[in-house]
Amino acid sequence: MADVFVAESIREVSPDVKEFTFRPAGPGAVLRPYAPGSHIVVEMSGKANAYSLTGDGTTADGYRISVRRQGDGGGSAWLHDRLRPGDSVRLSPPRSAFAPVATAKHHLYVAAGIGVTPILSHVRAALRWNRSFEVVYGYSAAGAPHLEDLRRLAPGRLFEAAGRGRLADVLAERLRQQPVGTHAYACGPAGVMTAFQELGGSFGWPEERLHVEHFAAPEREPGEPFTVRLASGRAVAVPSGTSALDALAEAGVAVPALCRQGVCGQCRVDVSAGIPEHRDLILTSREREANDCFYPCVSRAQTDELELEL
Amino acid sequence: MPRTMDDAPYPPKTSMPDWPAEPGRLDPAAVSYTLFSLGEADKAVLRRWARTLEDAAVPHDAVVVDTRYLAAWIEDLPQTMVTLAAGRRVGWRIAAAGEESAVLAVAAAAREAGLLDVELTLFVTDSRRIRVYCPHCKSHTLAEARPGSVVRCSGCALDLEVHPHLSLHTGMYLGTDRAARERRRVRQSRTPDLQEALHG
Ligand code: FES
Repeated sequence: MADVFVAESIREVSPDVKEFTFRPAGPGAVLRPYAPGSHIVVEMSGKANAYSLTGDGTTADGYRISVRRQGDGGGSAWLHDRLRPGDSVRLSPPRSAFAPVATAKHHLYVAAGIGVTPILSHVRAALRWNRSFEVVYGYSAAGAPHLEDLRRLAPGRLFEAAGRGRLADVLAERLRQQPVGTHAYACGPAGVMTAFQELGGSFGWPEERLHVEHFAAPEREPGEPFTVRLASGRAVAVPSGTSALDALAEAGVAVPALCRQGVCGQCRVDVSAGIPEHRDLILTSREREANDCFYPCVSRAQTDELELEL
Repeated sequence: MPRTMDDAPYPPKTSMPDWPAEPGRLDPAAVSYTLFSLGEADKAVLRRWARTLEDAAVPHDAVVVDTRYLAAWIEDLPQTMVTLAAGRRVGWRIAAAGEESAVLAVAAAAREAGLLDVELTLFVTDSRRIRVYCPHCKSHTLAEARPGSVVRCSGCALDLEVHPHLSLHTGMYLGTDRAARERRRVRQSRTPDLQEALHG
C-alpha cells in the first residue's frame, strides 16, 4: 500500500522544522490529488508516522510535509538527521480525515505551533477555490513555523497570537464573531484543542461545527478487557491497558506492525464475528460500520469476544 | 473525537418526516433564538419555549404567522430568512412550531442560510396541509393532502399523485402526473399480448 518516493528537496522552515518535498520514484507510485487537511504515512526503517500535507490538494508541487524534530529516537529525528535529497522513502496515499465542510458559509482555521501544517493546506485550498475564511495562528517565541507563509497568503484575515494566554483571548474573540453557517477547524496541542472545543461550546457552537485534528495520536483510555478468538479456535485474552497486538504477540501470534498508533494500516486484521471498538485514524465511518476488520495496535472490542481471521 | 470524514454518509436528502410527539427542548447554550409559531399552532408551545429562554437569559425574538397569511408568507420565506440571518453569529438557533408545510419550509430556508439540523427544533401541530412539487412545470401547490392523494397542480393543472418522498432541501413532497402513470399501467398490461403476438 505504500509506494516508493524520493525526497526531492529539504528546506529548513524554522529552527526545528524542516519541509520535505517528495516525488514518485518507484513503480506504481503516483501523486494523487487530496482533500485539504489530508495526511500521508511515511515509513522509515521499521517506524511509521503520519504527517499532514501542506499543499492545496493539487499535486503539481509533489507531496510536501513539514516536520518538527521531536526527541531523538523517533521518526522525526530520522527524517531530520538521516534523510538526504535523493533518498527514497515509502509513502502511503493521502488519507483525508480533516476535510473542509462543503456546505460551510465561512471557515475559521485555528493553528497552534506545528499544528499549522494541515491549516496551511486548508488556507491554500481556500484561496484556490475562493472559499471565505480566516485564520487564527498561535505560536511561541521559540518558533512560528510558516508564519511568513500565512502572512503572505492571508493578509487581513490572519489573527496572530503570540503565546498561549494570548491565543485563548484571540480564539474567544474570533469564535464569537463568526457569521451563521461557519465551520471551525483546529490543529495543535491537546490543550489548545480542548480549549477550542470548550470555548466554542460556551459560545453556543454545536460540536458538529468544531472540527479537530490531532497531530499526535490522542491519549487513549486503557479500555475494557476482551478476548480474541483465532481461526484455530484458540482464545487469547486481552487485558485492560494491553493492546490486542501485544496480547497476540505474547501468545506467539506476530502481526506485522509499524506505527503502533493506528495510522499506518500495517497491522490490519480481518474480523469474522463480534464488533470492534475502532480507535484507529484510518477507517472511514462507512468502513467502521462494516465491522469486518480492525487495527489491533489501538482498537479493542465492544463485544466480549472478537473472532479474527488469523 | 469529532472528525469530518470525507465520505461520511450524507444525511438522506429525502425521507418521510418522523415528527416528535412532544415539543423539543431548547439549547440554553445558544447565543440567541428565533421562535416561529405558524398557522394553527398551539400558542402554549411558543410561550413555554420563550419562558425557558428567559430563564436561561438567552435573547430571542418571535415570528407569529396567522393561518390566513401562511401561504403568502411561505412564498416570501427564502427572502425573509436571508434578512433574519443577516448579521447573526454562530450560536443562533431556530425553533418552529405549527403547520407541517410551514415548519418544513422554515427548516429548508434555515438550512439554506447555513444552519445545521442540530440547530433547529421543529414541532408539527397540524399535518393537514403540505406543499407538493410539480416536476413538470416546477411550481408547487399548497394543499390538504398526504402521500397517496391526488392534487391539482396550481401551475399546470395536471393531476399530481403525491409520493412519500419529501425533499428536506425544499420542504416539499414530490408529485407526478397521475395520467402518465395510468397510461404506463395500461401499456404494461398489454405487454404480454404483444409478447405473444411476436413470439407466439
Ligand atoms: S501498526 Fe500502524 S495501524 Fe497498527
